[in-house]
Amino acid sequence: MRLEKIYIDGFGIFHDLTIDKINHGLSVFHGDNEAGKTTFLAFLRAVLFGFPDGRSNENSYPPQRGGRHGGQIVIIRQSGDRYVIERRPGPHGGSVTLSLPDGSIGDEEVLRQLLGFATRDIFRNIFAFSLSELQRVDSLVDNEAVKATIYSAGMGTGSQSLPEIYKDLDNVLGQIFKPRGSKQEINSILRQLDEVRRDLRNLSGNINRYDELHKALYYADVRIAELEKGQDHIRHQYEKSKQLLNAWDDWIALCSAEEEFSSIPKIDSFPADGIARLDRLEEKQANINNQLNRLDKEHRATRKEYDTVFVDERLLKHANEIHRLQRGRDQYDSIVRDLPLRRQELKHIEEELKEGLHELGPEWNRKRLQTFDTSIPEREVIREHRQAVQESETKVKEANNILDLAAEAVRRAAQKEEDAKKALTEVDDPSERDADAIGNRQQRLRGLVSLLTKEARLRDRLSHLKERIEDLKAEKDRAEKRISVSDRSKSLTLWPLVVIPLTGIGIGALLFALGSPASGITLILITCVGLTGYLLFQRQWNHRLADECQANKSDLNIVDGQLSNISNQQRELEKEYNDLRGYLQTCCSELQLTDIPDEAGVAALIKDTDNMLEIHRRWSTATANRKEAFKNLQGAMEDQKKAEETANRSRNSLSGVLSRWKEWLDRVGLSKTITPDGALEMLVQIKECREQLKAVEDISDRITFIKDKITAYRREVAALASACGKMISDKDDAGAVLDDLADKLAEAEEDKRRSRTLCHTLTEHEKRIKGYQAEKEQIVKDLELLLQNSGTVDTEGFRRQAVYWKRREELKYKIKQYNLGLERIAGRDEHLALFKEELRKARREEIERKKREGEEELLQIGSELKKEFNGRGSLSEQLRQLEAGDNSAGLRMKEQFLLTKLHNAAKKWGNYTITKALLSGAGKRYEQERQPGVIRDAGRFFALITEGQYPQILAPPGEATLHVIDRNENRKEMEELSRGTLEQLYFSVRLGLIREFSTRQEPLPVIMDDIFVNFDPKRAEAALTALLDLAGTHQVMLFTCHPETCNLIRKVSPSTTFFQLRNGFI
Amino acid sequence: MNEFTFVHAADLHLDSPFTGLSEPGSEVADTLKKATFQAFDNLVDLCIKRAVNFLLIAGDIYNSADRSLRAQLKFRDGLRRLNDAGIRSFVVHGNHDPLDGWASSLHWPEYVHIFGGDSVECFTVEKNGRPCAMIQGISYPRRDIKTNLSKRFKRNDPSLFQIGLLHCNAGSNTGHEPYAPCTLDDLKETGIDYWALGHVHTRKILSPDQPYVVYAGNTQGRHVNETGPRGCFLVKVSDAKGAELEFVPVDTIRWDQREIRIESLNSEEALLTMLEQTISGIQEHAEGRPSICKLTLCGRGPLHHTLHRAGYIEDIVTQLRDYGLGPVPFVWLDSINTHTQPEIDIDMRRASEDIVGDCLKLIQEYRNNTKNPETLREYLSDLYNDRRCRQYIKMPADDELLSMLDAAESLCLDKLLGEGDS
Repeated sequence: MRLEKIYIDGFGIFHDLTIDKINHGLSVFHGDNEAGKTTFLAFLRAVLFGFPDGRSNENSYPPQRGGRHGGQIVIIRQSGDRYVIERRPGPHGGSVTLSLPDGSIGDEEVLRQLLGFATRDIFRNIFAFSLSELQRVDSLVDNEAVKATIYSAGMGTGSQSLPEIYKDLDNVLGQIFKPRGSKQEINSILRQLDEVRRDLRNLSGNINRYDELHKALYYADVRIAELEKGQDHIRHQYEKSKQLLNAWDDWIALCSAEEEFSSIPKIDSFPADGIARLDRLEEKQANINNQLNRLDKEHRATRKEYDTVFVDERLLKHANEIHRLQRGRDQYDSIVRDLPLRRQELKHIEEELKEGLHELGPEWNRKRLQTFDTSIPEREVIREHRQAVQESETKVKEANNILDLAAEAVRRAAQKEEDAKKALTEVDDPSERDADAIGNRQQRLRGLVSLLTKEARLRDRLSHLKERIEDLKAEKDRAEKRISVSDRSKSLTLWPLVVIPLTGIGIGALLFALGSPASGITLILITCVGLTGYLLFQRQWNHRLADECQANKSDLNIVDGQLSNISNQQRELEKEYNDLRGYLQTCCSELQLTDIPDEAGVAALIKDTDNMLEIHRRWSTATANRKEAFKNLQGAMEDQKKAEETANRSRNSLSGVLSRWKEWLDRVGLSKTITPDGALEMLVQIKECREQLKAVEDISDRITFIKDKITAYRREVAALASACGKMISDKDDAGAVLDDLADKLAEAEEDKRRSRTLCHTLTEHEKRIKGYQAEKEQIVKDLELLLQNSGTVDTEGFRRQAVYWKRREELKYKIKQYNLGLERIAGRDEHLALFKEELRKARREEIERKKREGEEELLQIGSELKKEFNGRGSLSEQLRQLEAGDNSAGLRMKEQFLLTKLHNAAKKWGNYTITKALLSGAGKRYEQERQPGVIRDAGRFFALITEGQYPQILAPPGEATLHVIDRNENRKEMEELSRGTLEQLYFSVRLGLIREFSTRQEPLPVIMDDIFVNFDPKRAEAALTALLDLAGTHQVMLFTCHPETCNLIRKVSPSTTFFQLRNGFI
Repeated sequence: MNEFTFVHAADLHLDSPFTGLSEPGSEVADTLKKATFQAFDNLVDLCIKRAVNFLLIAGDIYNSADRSLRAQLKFRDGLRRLNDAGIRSFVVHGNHDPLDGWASSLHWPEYVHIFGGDSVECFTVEKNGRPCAMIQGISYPRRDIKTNLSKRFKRNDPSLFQIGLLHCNAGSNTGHEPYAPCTLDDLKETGIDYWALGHVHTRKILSPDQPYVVYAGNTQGRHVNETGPRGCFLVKVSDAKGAELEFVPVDTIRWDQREIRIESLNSEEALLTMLEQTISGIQEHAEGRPSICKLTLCGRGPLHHTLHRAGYIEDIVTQLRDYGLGPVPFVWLDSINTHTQPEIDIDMRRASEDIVGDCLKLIQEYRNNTKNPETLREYLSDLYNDRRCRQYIKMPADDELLSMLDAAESLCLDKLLGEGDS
């Protein structure tokens, strides 16, 4: 793609400026500071990629000298298509108008497509950059697209870069192990392992004591056994004293009891619990006497009450009949109440039936009501007739509707046919009825336009070449003049060499002769010196002129070369131009044009063909419309005819259905005026009347039944009352009579129950009186027996004898208890006898003394034993701890667990370390062998510019930086390079990127703003060579304010086009 | 000949620690601490319950180097129980508990015979007052016995059933140290009817017919490679049938290791279900004992990246430990190893002209030894040659290095390709 023409309407200092004739290759725009170079660059960026928005720091360059802000750029793609881009400021970068080669208008999206989807950033940083962008590395590496192209192309990695991966790996490794760390996993395990092993070492020393402890334990056991033996002996003595003391009180009491026992008279036997038994018998006797008295009184009172009770046995005899009639009482009351209601109901329904029959008609009575056929089949017959009538009526109605619609359609179609006919008469008749012929002519005219455009372009280029030839001829003349001047200046001017010495010597001689020899000699000497100086100056001057002459000749040769080249180009172009003119002439003849028209003429012809096409289109449309309308009219008339036939058929069908219905009415005896719906309604009414007739019959039967029931009930009640001795008349209410009989029956039943209860109570009283009397006799017998067993005759003697017996028994019990107490202390039989003997001989004070002494000795031995047991316990505990060995086992287990963890952690560390080593190795290999194309291209440019000082550039994988390799294969980072070299590196990378982008999209024009200022002359020349290489494939526009840069470009590429910028003009 | 029964056991390794476990919970650690003792108790119970005539223990009762008093005391207590039940015990010592190793001054019960290390001793066993078998045996006087001790055995009384009790390496048992090495023929030539051997931890019957040559295996597996039931042989000897061997497991905790392929697993839920099913399977397989297991995930599948997410496996292990500790008896999941690979065609990726391809090619060069593996060891030397580390861990051998290289390959792919690209 190249910029063909630029029109600046208003932008900064530019106004109404047109730049055309921009070369495809390199063009140089020279201008002093503030001449407008940067403004021009900004204009190009703005029109192609949009004006900077308000938030941007970039200058929007509002017009300073009038005109509308914005302008137009004409671009030509490699395909030759020509586009016009016009942009004015506005939101979102401004409004763009893109004229496409076919004359249509494209939008921003089409422009983006045209520019190969390059972004403003990419254009700014890669294709149109100034020194300030060149000097900033971030302009390259901060752009993701650029970065991806430089650093990631071909790397094949995912979301993480290599340095990020290294960082991740280092993080993991740092968490697992550090040689001098303490908190890392392995460091922590190692510390714990050291601790465990130290504890295990300590424990192993303790275990050696096991046998020593065993021995100590044995000796402790021996000592304890001896002490326990002595303790047993003393305890025996002590226990004996304690026994005697414990038994002492019992012994004394025993002696006393035995003495009292021997003093009480001896009684062989006495009834057990005699006094209590005597008391109980006497108490029982008194109780029974009381009971007998009370019962006798109650018996007499009961007998008196029994005699006064009367029971009506007649009522009791008919109790069942009374209860049966009472159970039927509710039913009797109910039917008595129901009878008038039923009569009222009967009357009401009879009236309704009468009314229903009236509605059916005068010929209808109860008999016909019951005989008329209302069966379901008959109803279905009526429904069938009704459906047939309804369907036939519907069909007739639909047919009529269709007929109306058809008539309306015929009317509308006729109207449309008339309209179409009229429209056809109004349309112009086309002169040419073949539309394809008109289209072909138009297509050829459009082709003629592009040929004319090409012809104009060639004419412009020829004119430009002629001007250039004129310029070169003028330059050649100037160079030739400079050479001739130099040649003339070279010839030595001889007259001063003769005139000046002769004059000087003459005056000197005159002065010498006039008597002033010193002045004369001095003047002669000065003259000689001046002559020598002139000769020396002349020699230098000649050398300089020779150099200048040589330079001018060289320039002349260059200009000659350029002139020859351009003349050749001119000849080629002229030939091409003439060929094109010939071809144009042929085309015009084919189009029946006498002369070759200009672009405006062709445009007018194209417009004519457009008009012809439009007339042809209208005529075609009107003709087609009329044919269509006529066809529609014929169709509508056909439809109307068919609709009429259908309507006639429907009407005939309806009259047949109605006659069949009337036949049916005649058969069942109904009026012929009745419709099927009316007949169905009559059937419903007949059914209702039948139900009313049935209800009348049912209620009459019910009333008869109720009357019979009441009569029977009254008859039964009268018979029962008579049987019970009560006479009733017909006026008496049967219910009330029955209620009275029931009340009396209840009273008789109550009297009967009471009589029975009293009789039963009397029998019970008699039984109980007999029982008490028998019990009283038994008590008397028991008393006699008790006295007899005690050997006494009365109760007083019995009680005295009881006191003696009780005391003897108490003393016997005490003696026995004392002896048992002594037995518990001393044992039985001979042990007890010996113990009693010892007690008999002993004295209490002596025993107490021995006991005290024993206690003291036992305490002493106990203390010694306790000490020994403590020592033994301690030994046992130590042994137990050693035997348990829990701690060592736990430590060994812990050691194993830690070793396992250590192995696992070490393996993990190893995995990550090897991973890092592998990635590092792969990264180096990649760096050496698989640099992206951008870097390879950039490396070649950089080597060219630095004259082989830096033969290679490297992009370390995954890092947003660049390294360079010098000729000694030393690697340098960017920070180590001088400013100029760094700019040359960036320049090379941009050239590489431009190449890379152009492989994927339309090559965009390259614009550079004074980027060689920090390059030394040699590298500047080399860089320019690289730029010219690029200019072979890209349009390159170089802005500079340095004449030497222009000179250098002229030197390297004499054919380069130069534009001079001055204060907003070119 | 009298009919008689005896139990043949070996390699009790009482109170020796379990290896290869990283961090068992307290309940598991407690069970492990008691496991060897409980297995020995089960052995003693078996002898008493089945009223055997004697018990043979073929060495490595405990590890002398551990200096565990508790092991010796428990051993004495167990033999005392047998003594009280009238059952004789015959014991030889092996390389882990040689006679010159550390031992406390314990008093052995009357019915216990511990064979000396100077020469083969003979002992006649009686049943109902009549001799029924002759037992010969010899202990290791010291650890490194490299001589063929079986040559010292010979048939003494042709009328009695001859039993040889020895701790040795018969045949070529790789993975076991070659102590008292001998061949099967050496053993058969001695005229011994039943060789009760110890040293090899996996039970083996080298000769199923008379002369019987039998390794009882250890009574309790102590690391993940010692999977399956462990116990002793109950041997019934009769004229009619010779020796009938019945293996009886006495171990109290089982080891298990399973491999799970991830190809068919499409979701984390499916993975978890599969792991839980595996743990349930291990529990069913353990015959009512608690188990310790290690699982290995392998293969290429969509879950590869999930498995390599930081902390994911640790979370799964924690969850499955809870799951395994739920039922009784428990299943303790010690660890899950991930040997999975991303779902990519490695060969195709290796051929690619990018850094991934370069990395895979480099790995392949190490595998094919076209690059010197010693350079990898140099990278590892920071850790493995560290002053403190080298006393505990050794520089990886070739096979370990290859395993590390496999893991590193997987890591490289994960890092270079990320989740989305592979």
